Amino acid sequence: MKRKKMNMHETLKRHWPKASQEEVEAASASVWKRIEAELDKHDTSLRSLYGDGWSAAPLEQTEFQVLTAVSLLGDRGTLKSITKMVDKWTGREMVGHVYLTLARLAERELLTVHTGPATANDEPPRRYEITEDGDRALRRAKIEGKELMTAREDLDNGCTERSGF
Amino acid sequence: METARIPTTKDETFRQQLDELYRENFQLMYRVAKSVTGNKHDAEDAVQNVFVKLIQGQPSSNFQKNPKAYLCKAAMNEARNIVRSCRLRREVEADMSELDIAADGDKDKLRERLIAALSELDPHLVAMLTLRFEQGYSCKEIAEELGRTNLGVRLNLHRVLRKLGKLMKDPGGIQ
Repeated sequence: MKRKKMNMHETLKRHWPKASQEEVEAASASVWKRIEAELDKHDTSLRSLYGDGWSAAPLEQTEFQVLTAVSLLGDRGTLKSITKMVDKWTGREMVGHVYLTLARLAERELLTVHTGPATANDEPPRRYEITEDGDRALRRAKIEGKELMTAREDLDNGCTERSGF
Repeated sequence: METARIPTTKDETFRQQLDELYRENFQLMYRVAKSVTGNKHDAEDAVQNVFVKLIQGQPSSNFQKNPKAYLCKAAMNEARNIVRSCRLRREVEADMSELDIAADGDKDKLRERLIAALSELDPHLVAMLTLRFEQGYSCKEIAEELGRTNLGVRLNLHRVLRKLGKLMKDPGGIQ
């Protein structure tokens, strides 16, 4: 029994289909070239091999709408102008949702908040601008098929706060 | 509304991840694949297929748990598919000239039988055998490399050697 085991070891040591280090390195370079050619055929700018498969943050429907408004408005993005745009897409008053969503998006660094100079009677106006991560999140949402117009029942289902405005 | 976008470093995330994965795992994947195909061209194709599939679609959840084990298994499966395709045994025979073996008929047959037997084994066992007999790793080193226990590797190697012996004897015996 023991002799048989030795034979198997010997057989494998002698006949294992070996590859020299040079061969492995040459093969590695050659295969990588082919893989790069394949990579060029695909848009992998938002993909990741890990996690949920994306290298961009996910967005909920309201977040998508608010962030799109911020993106479209550029440096004119204030709570008022953003809300006006989102109201149009949802067909209802969204100021509370927009306010909370803006805070959430800022926390996730998908947008930045700039405070303007204070005026005599009013609070200093806040302006919102999209970040690179925010832009990537928007691109992901578009690929996922998110739409700006929301059916009323969708909004009611996805609503996280009571409408007490 | 759509404007031309300048690519950013974050757009390269996937490519960087793939590159890193490739550099870390190519060697073992290639050696495992070659132990099944017996020739370098099919081994290259096998490894390439694995990475092309990663590019084309998201890998299963097993990949996230243990990328190295997943890639080894995938390379082995691809190699096995190549061998089992229309070329099968005839191709293996034809490519024998490429292997650094003596022109001895018995040795040829032995190696041929070994390659055929390897293609019947579980991928992780072939990975273990590759590390043991090609890289000269100890059981402890194999365990560390493949994320297994030392005892598990010893047991698996013991069993797979017996199985390999049987598989090689099956078509007519090696003695």
